[in-house]
Amino acid sequence: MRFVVSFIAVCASIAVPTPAFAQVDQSGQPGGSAQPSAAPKAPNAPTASRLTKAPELVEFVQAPYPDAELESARSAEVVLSIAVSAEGTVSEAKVIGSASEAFDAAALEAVLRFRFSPAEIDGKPAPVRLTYRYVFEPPPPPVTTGALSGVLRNQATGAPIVGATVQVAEHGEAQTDAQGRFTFVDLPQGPVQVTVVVDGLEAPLKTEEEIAAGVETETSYDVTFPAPVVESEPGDDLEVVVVAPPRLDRRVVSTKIQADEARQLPGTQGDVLKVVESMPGVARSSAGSGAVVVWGAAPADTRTYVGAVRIPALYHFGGLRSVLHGDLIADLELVPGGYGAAYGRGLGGLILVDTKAPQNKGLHGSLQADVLDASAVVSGPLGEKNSAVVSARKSYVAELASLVVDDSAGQYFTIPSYYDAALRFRRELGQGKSLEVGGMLSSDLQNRQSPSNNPALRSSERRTLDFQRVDVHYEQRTGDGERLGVTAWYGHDLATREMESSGVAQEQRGNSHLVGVRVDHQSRLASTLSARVGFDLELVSTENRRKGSLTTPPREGDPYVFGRAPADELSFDTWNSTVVSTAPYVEFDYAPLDDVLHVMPGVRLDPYVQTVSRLRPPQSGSPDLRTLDLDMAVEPRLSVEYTPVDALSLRAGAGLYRQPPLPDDLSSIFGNPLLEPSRGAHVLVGFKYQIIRLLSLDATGFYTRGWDIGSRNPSSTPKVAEALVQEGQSKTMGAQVSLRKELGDDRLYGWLAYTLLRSQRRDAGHSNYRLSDLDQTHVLTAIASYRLGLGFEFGIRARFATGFPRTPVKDAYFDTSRGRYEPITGDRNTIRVPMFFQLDARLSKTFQFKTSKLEAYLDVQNVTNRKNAEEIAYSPDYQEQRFVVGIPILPVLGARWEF
Amino acid sequence: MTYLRPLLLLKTRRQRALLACSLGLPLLGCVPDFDDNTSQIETLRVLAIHADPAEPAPGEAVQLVALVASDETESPTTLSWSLCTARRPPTEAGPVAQKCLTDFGSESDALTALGEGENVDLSIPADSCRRFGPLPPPVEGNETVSGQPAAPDQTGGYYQPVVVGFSDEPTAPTLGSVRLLCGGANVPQEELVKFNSGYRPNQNPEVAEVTAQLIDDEGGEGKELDWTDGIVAGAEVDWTIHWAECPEQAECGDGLCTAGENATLCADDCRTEPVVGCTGAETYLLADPVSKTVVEQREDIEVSWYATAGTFDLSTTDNDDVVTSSTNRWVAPTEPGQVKLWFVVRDSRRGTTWKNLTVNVVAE
Repeated sequence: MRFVVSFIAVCASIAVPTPAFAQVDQSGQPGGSAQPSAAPKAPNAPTASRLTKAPELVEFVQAPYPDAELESARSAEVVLSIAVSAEGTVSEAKVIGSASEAFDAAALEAVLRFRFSPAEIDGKPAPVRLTYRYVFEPPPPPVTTGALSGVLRNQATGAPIVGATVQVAEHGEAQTDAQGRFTFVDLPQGPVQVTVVVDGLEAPLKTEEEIAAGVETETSYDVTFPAPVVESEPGDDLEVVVVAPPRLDRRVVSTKIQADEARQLPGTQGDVLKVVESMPGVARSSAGSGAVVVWGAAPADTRTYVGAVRIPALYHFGGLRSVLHGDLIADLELVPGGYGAAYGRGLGGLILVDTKAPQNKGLHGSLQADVLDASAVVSGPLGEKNSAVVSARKSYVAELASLVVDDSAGQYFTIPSYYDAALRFRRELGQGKSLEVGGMLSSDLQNRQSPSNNPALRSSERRTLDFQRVDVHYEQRTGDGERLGVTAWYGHDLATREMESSGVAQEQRGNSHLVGVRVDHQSRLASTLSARVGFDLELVSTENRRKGSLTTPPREGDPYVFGRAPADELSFDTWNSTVVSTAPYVEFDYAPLDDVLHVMPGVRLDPYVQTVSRLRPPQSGSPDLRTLDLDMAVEPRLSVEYTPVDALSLRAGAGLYRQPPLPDDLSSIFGNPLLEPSRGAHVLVGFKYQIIRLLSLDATGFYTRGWDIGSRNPSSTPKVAEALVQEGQSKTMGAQVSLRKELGDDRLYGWLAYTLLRSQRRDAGHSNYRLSDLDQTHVLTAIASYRLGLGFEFGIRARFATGFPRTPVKDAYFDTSRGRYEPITGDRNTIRVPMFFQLDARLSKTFQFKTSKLEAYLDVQNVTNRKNAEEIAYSPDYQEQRFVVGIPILPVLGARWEF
Repeated sequence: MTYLRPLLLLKTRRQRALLACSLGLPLLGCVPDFDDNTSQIETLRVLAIHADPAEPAPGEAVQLVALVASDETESPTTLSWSLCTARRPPTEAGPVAQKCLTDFGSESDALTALGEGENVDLSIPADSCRRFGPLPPPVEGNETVSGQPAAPDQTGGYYQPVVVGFSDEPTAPTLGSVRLLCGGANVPQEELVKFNSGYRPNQNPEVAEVTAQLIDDEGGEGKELDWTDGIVAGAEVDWTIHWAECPEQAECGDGLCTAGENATLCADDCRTEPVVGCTGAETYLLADPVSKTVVEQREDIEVSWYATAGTFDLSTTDNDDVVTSSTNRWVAPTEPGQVKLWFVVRDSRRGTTWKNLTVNVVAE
């Protein structure tokens, strides 16, 4: 920021034959030194007229310090002769004492806009001539630092904590004074790590504050000392509550994990986002599916966001690796249900991935390689205010496998090929403002050929998923916790599938363009009230193409039998759909009793527009009729958190939700172009109990309902464009319990989580509910990682899960037209695949060097080589059944170098 | 679907069946092998249903004949026939409404009894093209608007399902189908005209010849075998089914009324009584719903192989590189005796025929 320095010296002279002069001193503008000066005229003027009132400057104009002179950074004086009219305006100005061309021009431009109260001669307004001296002082250097001050208090008593040590990383430390206050000055702008050490604390409090240039950030930390415990627990357990910015993202139930913790857990192979599979509430998906099933909801019902940008998949094909490199991730949060008004368009849960800001101090990065793929990340500053990070990853497991196995056997192996990349650029705008521009892309290919001399067994399949995202994100934070975030993004998704089996060809293609805008503002309105308002827009325009039978691929609820040949009907359709949803929302956090009670009502309005290119199947000679559906939904949300004692918080929440139909379902031949959004409701109750420091128990009971869900038309002659009808319903109820040990400074961290649930569906035309395809009654996950010392870390994960429901085969008949047997199925989803159990282990060794570290790891999935059943397979005549067995023991050896 | 499985030898002594992959469900796992015993005739089975004509129009008379296979010399059981009148709802998978199979042998509104015997004569119901074809289906129940027409198969065909079973064992019925002559659909009017003027109803294939080659111990090229003289126990024999060669393009005057020809364009070929089509892999017109044009396709021919003893390499084969035959290897049983073999030949449009043999397996 450039500081304007201006000085005024007023010297009155009279533009008449007998000029008179006056001298006025005025102080200069803030930021500069005032140098009033005057140039008196000679006193030998005629006395026929007398100056009875000197002109007074009533409107001053600052002259900016000329850009051309900034480099010189010198003081300068420009002396000007100014004619002031009888009206008080400056009619003429000329330089009579030059400083330089630039200074002269600046001074002239300013004084010409001065306004004076008119001078009076003999009691009457009259023009006068004055001499002015403008003095310029060089601007001070730009401020790039800020200050941090705050107070440390005992939350229970409100008394200041005296003598505590507050440290700012790489800057120093300060002691709290008698008022509990501390201050740091000259802190670099951007995030700083703050550590608070209180006598008697076993572990310090760590938090992060955002420093804005030229701003003193004020914060306060309230320390809560729990009541003395009766058991022989250590007496130095503390729960430290940081009270600073409003937390309007309180959720009734959620699991949040830092990236550094997630990376070390077994089963992830160092891939941060793979930890989602082990989180409470997440079902164990079929080996290689990569689907995320949360509380029994279909994968498409759970929305995944990277920042404010929605992405179509969390994992590459096969679920072997996630689509975003872990080094770009700060943390991730799973909200299985009951989320607040800021999000919508999903009847399931939320997966929120928060990205890290690029490094702005030095060049950092990592190189990683294992049997699956290799990746690299580089992050660093670009000048004083900018920083950037770029990542890239490419798989080679499919190519490696082709080298290892026989060529002909390779025809039966289907291991996906994938790559992904991301780029992010950040610019600090100062005063807590920042601008980020970024993008990511992901590509997946799965190709399988099964030649056979038996045409009934001949099959091939090719699947691809490519998506790209570009976004611009502006963020502004102030010291009192106010936050404004604005994100605009564009996305492109292309999903294709081509299959041929037993001479039957199928094809699907979806090409989507997405645009999103999110504006989110959080602020503290009063000491007991915070608010979050925002706007969430999403437009999805999709071109679809599909060829094949109505029942392939199968939908949830179809009587699916593994290995059954697809129906050989041939339908074909192309259609376009556009869905626009603009959702303003507001959410409050009313805390009338400090942190004891939080009542968080919210509401989301969801005006919705859907158009589909074709209302009916194409008819020769008839034009296509486009559909237009307008709707508006009000989605109230409410959550309440009550903390009767420090270690215990009780939570409850409820809300209405809805979800637009999938573009795939809007075909006039394969689906229904008039499908409207499905609707749902969530109700949750739960509690969190902090047993001891870093050890907590979390329990939640949940009940979700869904209705108006697209479901197969039960009629044998469905009406035109009604292959799907909006009559499906769902209900899920259950409970999840997790015992979690946070990392802290300890060696051990992990959790034990158990979910009991029942997920059911009621199809159109049916009166009874049946088990959902994704029901998993019991899911138990125990995961832990222990730092052995000397750079070694060992982790173990045990998972137990009920098998997915399947439809039994009661009998079979021979189809002479095709020369094969067909199954006769029983009641939907009345049997199950056997239960699943798997033990994974991970051992890593980190070598620390001066400026880098190298980690070597061995991550072994299915240590006991248990043959877990994934599907029920049948003999060609359906008289015999066996199980498709999942992945055998899979050791993944890898290394990661971080600098 | 993705899966890992051990190496499959495409030609093994013991036939192994690869499971068809489950389309639409990604999976990473090891698929078990099953022995495919569908070629072995150990009980009474209906292997094929032949319709004559192969593609009747609604109201037209047709005779249905069943191929019943048994390892017994006599098969005293009686066949019962029913016409399936229920269309499969979208909530079911499979080729036909499941109740047509599960209700067989009892009173059902999904089935119309046709009679008993190894063959049956019937008239194709007048509304078949509405129930199973491209015409709007009959309005049912309280509905006032008819539903969506059926979708054709990959050859553009529509089929009337037929269920046949043994009177004394109604719980194990067999499904057959009769291709319906319903006309084209899903293409613009001008293409429809082209289709209707040039489409030739399907002709059942015919087996022109069955040959056998004896494979020597080294597995080299076989020598012609007169199987009527007997086959040595344990011998490997390549059976080849031959059928007529069909012209790739219609040629007026060749004696065959084929795709693109009609009584106006080629009276010599198409005004004969009966009209003669080709009994091999015919060309036919397809109203392609994807390109919305009428295109010419050539049939594929598949052969299903059955025997009361011995093992075939594959249960089903299709035409070799030479489009007029299909070959499969059979290993004779090690025990001497009489062995029955059946070769069922089907074209893409579900025209069916068969050939059965009885061979003497003799000791070495």
